[in-house]
Amino acid sequence: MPYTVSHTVNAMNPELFENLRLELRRGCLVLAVLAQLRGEQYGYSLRKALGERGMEIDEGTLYPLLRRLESQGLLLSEWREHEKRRKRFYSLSPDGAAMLGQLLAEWASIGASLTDILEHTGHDHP
Amino acid sequence: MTILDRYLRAVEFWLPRAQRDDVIAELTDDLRSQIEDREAELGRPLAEPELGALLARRGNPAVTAARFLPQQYLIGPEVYPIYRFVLKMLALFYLLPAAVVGVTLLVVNATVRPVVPGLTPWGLLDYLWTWGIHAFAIVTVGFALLQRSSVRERLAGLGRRRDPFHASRFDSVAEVVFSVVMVGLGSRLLSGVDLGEARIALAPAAGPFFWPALLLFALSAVHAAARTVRPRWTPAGARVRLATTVALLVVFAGMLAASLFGVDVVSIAIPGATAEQAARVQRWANATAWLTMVIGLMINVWQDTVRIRRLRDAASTGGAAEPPTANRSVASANAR
Repeated sequence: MPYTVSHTVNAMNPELFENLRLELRRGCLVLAVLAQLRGEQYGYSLRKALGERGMEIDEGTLYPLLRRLESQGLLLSEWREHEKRRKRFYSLSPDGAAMLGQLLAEWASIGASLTDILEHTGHDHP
Repeated sequence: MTILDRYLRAVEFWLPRAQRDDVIAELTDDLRSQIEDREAELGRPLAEPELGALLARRGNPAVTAARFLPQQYLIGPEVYPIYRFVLKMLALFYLLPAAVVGVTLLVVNATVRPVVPGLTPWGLLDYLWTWGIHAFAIVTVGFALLQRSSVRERLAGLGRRRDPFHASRFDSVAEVVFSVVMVGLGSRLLSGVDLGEARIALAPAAGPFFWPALLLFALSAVHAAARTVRPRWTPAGARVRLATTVALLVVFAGMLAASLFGVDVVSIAIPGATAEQAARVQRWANATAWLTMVIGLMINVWQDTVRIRRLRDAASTGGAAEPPTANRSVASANAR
């Protein structure tokens, strides 16, 4: 059956898997950054903290995201001297905290929906 | 100057002045932190090749700078499908017919009689290439401007449910202004317009095109003015607009075809220019003007066709987008 063949080929395609994996994780990055910034962090320490918790993010993605979230009023930033160097510290704004709450609820809802879909279509969790 | 300074200087070059200091300060801190971490791991300072490898992993300075900035497009994803559509239409209805006519004339020239003396295969290729590039540039610049205008936001919102019977007053006023300007310009061309020392006037060959075009623009102005007073579309009104646009398209396509084959619709007199220079300016000016109009009118025909389909759908389903009672009977009658 052509469908089965193409399905098998695609599932074995590591490049395709990597693209889809990145796409999936990209959707969670805002949530991860907002959650991590419940405590004040500067860019590099934030990247390390996320990496240590399995959410690796490259600087080319992180810094534009931080700037966007700040321009949307979800983050606050402040330049300060730290360890003899000027660093920009980011933290969650009150609006950002409220948004994080809403996004976490959405995240829980997506998780529940996905579990439900998987259970009703007879697939096991990987 | 260290390799790190050189890298930062190169990134700085690609950043807009307003954000330069801020981005460079943050990037410097990030890179220095990363270098310090690596040095702590190794227990020694990084050698220059190691530093170079670390910076190379960051990527080209231009790319690094671009990552700090919001995503920028010449033509963005909302507008791109329409841009591609217009380019396809241009190839299909302009370049292809011009090529077919040109090749036919070459064949007739060679086998029957010289209908267009001086037309050579190389001349035809040169012509198609020049005008192809010219048309591509005009369309691209037009869409790049569109990308930066409020029209893009309206295009992006096309997926949302809108009232198809609503006629934008802004669009109607713009159409009135444009049509009046075209009528005014046409009328002035009758007696000739002075531009510095040059003089632009209608050529004798303009006869078959001039009065129909003027009449159609006047009709368009009246129709658009009516919509500014009562900003509602009716299927009949939309059909009148489509018919006007198609008629204008035919007239301007005729002017374009005439100018393509060396018949000047507008003649330009430039004192001091050689005959060859004057002919070149005339050819470019004629074809550019008509080509711009043809492209604009093609977009209008497409918009009018989509509008008529939406009005018909809305009238037949009688949904939320139905017109007020006074319009409903007209809409239903037309739908039938």
